[in-house]
Amino acid sequence: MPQPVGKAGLNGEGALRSLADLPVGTRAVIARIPLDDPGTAAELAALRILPGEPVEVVEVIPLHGPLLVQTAGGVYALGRRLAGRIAVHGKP
Amino acid sequence: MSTLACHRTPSAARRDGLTVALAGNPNVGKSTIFNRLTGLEVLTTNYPGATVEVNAAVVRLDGRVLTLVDLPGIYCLTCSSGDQCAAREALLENPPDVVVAILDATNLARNLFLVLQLIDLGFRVVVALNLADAAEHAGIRIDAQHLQDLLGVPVIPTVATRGHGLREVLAEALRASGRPPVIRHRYGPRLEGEVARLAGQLDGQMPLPARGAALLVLEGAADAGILAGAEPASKSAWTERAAAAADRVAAAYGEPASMAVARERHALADRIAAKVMVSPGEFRGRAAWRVAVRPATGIPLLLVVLAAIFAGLFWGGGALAALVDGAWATYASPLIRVLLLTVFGEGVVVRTLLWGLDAGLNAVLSVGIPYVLTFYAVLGVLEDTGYLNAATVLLDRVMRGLGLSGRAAIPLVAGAGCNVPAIIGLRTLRTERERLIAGTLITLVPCSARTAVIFGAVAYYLGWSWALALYGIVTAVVLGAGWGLNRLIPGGTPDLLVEVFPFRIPAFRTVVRKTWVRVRDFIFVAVPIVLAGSVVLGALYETGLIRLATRPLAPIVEGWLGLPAVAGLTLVFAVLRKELALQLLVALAIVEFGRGAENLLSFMSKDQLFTYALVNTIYIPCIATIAVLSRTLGRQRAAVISLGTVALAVLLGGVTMRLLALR
Repeated sequence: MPQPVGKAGLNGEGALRSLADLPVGTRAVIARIPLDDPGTAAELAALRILPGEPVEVVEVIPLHGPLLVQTAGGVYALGRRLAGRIAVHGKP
Repeated sequence: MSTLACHRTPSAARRDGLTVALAGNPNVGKSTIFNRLTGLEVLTTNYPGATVEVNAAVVRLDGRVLTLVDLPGIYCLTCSSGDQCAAREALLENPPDVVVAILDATNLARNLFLVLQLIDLGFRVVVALNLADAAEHAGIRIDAQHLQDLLGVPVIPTVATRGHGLREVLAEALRASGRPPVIRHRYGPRLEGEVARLAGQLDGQMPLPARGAALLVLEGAADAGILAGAEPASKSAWTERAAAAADRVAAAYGEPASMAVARERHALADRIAAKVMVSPGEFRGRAAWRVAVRPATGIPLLLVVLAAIFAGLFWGGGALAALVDGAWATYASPLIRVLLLTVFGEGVVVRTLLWGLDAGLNAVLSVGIPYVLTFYAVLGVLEDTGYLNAATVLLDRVMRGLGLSGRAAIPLVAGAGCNVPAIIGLRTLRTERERLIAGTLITLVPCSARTAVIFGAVAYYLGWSWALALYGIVTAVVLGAGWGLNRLIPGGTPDLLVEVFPFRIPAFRTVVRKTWVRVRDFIFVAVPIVLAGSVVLGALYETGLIRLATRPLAPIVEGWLGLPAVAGLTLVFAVLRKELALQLLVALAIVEFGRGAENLLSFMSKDQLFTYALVNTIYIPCIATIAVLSRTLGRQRAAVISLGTVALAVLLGGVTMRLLALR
């Protein structure tokens, strides 16, 4: 089952937030991506949606629609549930 | 024991001549290059997942025979969706002599990721630096020579839409085929150390060079068939060693080996891109898609687009139909009649042949082509601007309610052109459940042939509002079926993960060419079937056997649907091609009541025409669709879907007829 990323700190990595919780215009650094499906993980990695990579939320489609993020590689649309499972570092 | 065959190219099943595969990220102009090089009909589009089967074509260049393979767009060779598997299978199981890697020059670093992976796997690579014009326009300048030196493979700037640089790419591919593959780059020493150690433990049976195989395994693709030739005992021993190596990499990097390899490759791609980028420029065109994906503007835009398609079909298609019909009646029809009478003389033979050669051909030209042509022209523009791609984002929310991701919107829209390629396109979807739901819904989407019937019968004789009402009913049926299937079939809906491309102004030539190829396919496939169908129906009619043939249908067609029994027979024939239904009906009307705009109405009432078009739209997809459906989803499911649509169509048709009678 998908596990949403909690807002509390995990493994001493500092406060983590879910990518899906970020408002439009927020820049963040990815902390963790879901690894349970190797195919999706590999595709995320190829698209540079990887821990340590910067992302900016450029559009959020309302009513639980997809989230659009700009990475160094391009603009990608992520389903809200997938975005919910990507953790980013919280604001310092 | 082990052979360190670092510079061995993947072993190929030998064919005549050379095989050149075209690989690249989605939307980099791969299919455009393929079309340009082959003059062949692979459809190029500005959305991911358009090239769904691996297309191949044989061409001659400088006296040599080349097999060109157009792979689906991929970001990496580690499986996720079905089309990436197809690309990987084509590359690994049937390795080409040369891979032409097509790059988007406006997004160099990310595109280099795949190039590095291809070189890692030991392929002879030639790089086509495509969209050179768009890059130049954005002020991006890349030192191609420097890139060539760093990668160790030829790099040629190209503009696919204008054909620039493409012959040079092929010529370089020919030259490269005679050289051993080159790997000039290396990743970080820790990773390379583990890769070398793992590679040293491989035995010589691998279809890949040892370093490439070791990297691929660390990337988590141990099932990729790279151990196909190995003994079971050595296979299991090696799998253990691979797992141990992956663990060591994970420990060293603090993340899974697959992520570590991807990170190293991105870092190297970044360094190379930074070195060869003379001027980074500023790439524009990112903003336009926002209008299409934001509901506040996207939904009105979607409605405008749908209205434009509808208006184009109604007025454009309608005008074309009237023009063709008039010309046929004035010039072609009398000529054919005279010719046939001269050869065969008056009788049953001539009357039967006239069904096919006069009425049948007339129907193809005036019912099929105008609407099919118009639809494909509009679809081509929508694809090549990138609008369809943006629409998948907007539609994701709606699609989720049907158990689909936004990605499925593309095959569903393609289904409005023709169900067959749309069903083949299901390979781009991630789960079997999604393929099953989308496959069922595609068969309910009116393809251009059914659209021709809706417009040719309903819009033409009853007016546009009736056609709109019919589309409303069909939309409700599709949404209802998706909603039901989503609840019926266990499992979850996969997440959306697609790239959003900048909008482009479509190249006129590409759109015209694509429309022509699609319409040409339609003509070549449709005309013989329509001719044969018309002649058979004509023979039944002229010999009076039609009464016998329609009798078994009468209870359903006449009793429940309230249609003339003969109309039911045309519906049965329409299993061959859906537009055949109306074409045969028109032919029948011409024979019975003579030519004229009102002929169908003297044959059937308005209510009957509406019901007829509705039943034709929903019941059973054509035979080609059933065939591809059973290949994709299995015979049993195809049978259930087909019979289900018949039941649904008959039920809805009868109910509609009774509701219309209440007015």
